[in-house]
Amino acid sequence: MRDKPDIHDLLETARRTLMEGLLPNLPPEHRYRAHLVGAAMATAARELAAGDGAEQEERAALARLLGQQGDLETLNRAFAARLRAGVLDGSEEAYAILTRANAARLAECNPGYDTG
Amino acid sequence: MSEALAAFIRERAGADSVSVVNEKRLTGGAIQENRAFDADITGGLHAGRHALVLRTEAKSSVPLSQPVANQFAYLKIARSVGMTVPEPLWQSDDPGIIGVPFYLMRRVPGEALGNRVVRQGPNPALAERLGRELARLHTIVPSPEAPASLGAPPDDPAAESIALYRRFLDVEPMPHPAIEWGLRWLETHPVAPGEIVLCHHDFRTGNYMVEEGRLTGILDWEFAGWSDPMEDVAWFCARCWRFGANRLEAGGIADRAPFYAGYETESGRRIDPVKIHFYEIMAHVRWAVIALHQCGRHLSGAEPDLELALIGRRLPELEHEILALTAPGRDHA
Repeated sequence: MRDKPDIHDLLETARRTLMEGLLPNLPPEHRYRAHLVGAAMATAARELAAGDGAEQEERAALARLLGQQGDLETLNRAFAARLRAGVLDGSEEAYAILTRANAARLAECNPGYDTG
Repeated sequence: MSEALAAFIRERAGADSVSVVNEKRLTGGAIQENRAFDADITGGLHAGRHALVLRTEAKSSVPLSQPVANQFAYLKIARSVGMTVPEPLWQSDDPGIIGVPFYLMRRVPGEALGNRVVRQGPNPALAERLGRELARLHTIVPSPEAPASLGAPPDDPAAESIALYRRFLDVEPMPHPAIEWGLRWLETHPVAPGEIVLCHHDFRTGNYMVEEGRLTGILDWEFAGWSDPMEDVAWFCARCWRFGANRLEAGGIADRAPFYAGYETESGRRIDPVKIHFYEIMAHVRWAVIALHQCGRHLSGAEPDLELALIGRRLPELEHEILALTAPGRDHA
C-alpha cells in the first residue's frame, strides 16, 4: 500500500504551492509560464479525479453505433472515417456520442467554459 | 546580432552610422519571433531615433504561415489602401545578416494581448473602426499587379479549405471525429462561391494593437490570401477569439452590430448571415487543425514545450463550438 498523501493530494498541494507561494514572487517575465505549469497540473488532477468512466461509456456507445469492437482509438478511427464518408450525415446518435465525449473532455480541460 | 542589424540599416537607409539599442524580445505568438529595438541613425534621409520591430522567419513553420518576404509585401499593400498597419521599412532574405530572413517595421504603441484588450471593456467605436479597416483590405481583388505569392484565386475557397483541412487531419496520429463531423457538415451545407478578395486570415482580437482604446496597428500578416470576404468577418466574430467575453460577439470587444456597420458602410457590401454561420464553423475547424499541428511540434519531440502542449488541450473548446453550430436538424442560422 502506498503511503499518504495520495496522488490527488500531492498534485493539488504542489499546484497550490506554485500558484500561491511561488508565483507572486516570480519576476513578471516568468509568471506566464508558471501559470501554464499550474494549468497543466490542474488539468492532470481533474483527469485523475474523473477516472475513465466517460471513456468506457464512449467506447460502448461507439461499439453499438459502429457494430464493431476495439479500443477507443480504433473505434474513433472508424467513426471518423464513416463521418467523412457521409454515412452518418445528420445522425442524432453520432451527434450525441460526440457531444457527450466533448462535455467530458471540456470539463477536464476547461471546467469554467461557458457552454450556454 | 545588433551589429549586423546596424550595418544592414546603415546600408538601406543610406546612413553614416547606426546603432541598435534597447533590444527586447516581444511576447509574440508561438509561431514567430518579434524583437523590439531602437535605431539611432546618423546621416541620410532617416537621421534620428526610430522605434522598430524586427520580425524573423519562424524556426519551425506552421504549414499555412508564409515567409517574411510575403508578409512584408502584404503590409505594403495594406498600407496602400489606407489600413492602419505598422509601416514596413526594409526586408532581407539574406541568411548572412542575422541567420534568418527578416523584415523591419516601425513600432506602433499600445497593447495587443487579447486578454488585456478584452479586459478594457466594451468598445463599439473600436469594433466599428475594425470593420472599416477590414473593408479596406477587401477592396483588393485578384489582378496582374497582385503579388505572385498569393497564387491563383480559388474558384471555390470553401471547398478548397475543406479539402486542405482534411489533408491536415490525415497526417495527424490520432482520429478527430468532432472535426470530421464539422467538415462534413460544411461539405453538405455549401455556400455559393462569391467575390474573391484579399483576406487577412487572422484578423481578430490579439492581432491588433490598441492604445487608449484606439486602434494603432493591425498585425500578423503571415496567413493572408485570396478568399471570400465573409471568411474574415466570421473569423473576427468566432467565439474562440472573444477571450472569455462571450457576450461581446465581435472579438470580445463589442456586439456584432457596430463591427458589421463599419464593414458594411465602408465596403458597400452586405453581411451575409448564412455565410457568417458557415465560416464561423470553418473558423473553429481551422483553429482546431492549426492547434493540432502546434501541439504536434511538442508531441513529436521536435520542440518540447508546455505552451505548445497545452494548445492540444484547447481542442475541446473548439470542438464544442463546432458541435454547437451544427446540431442535426439545424440548417444555416
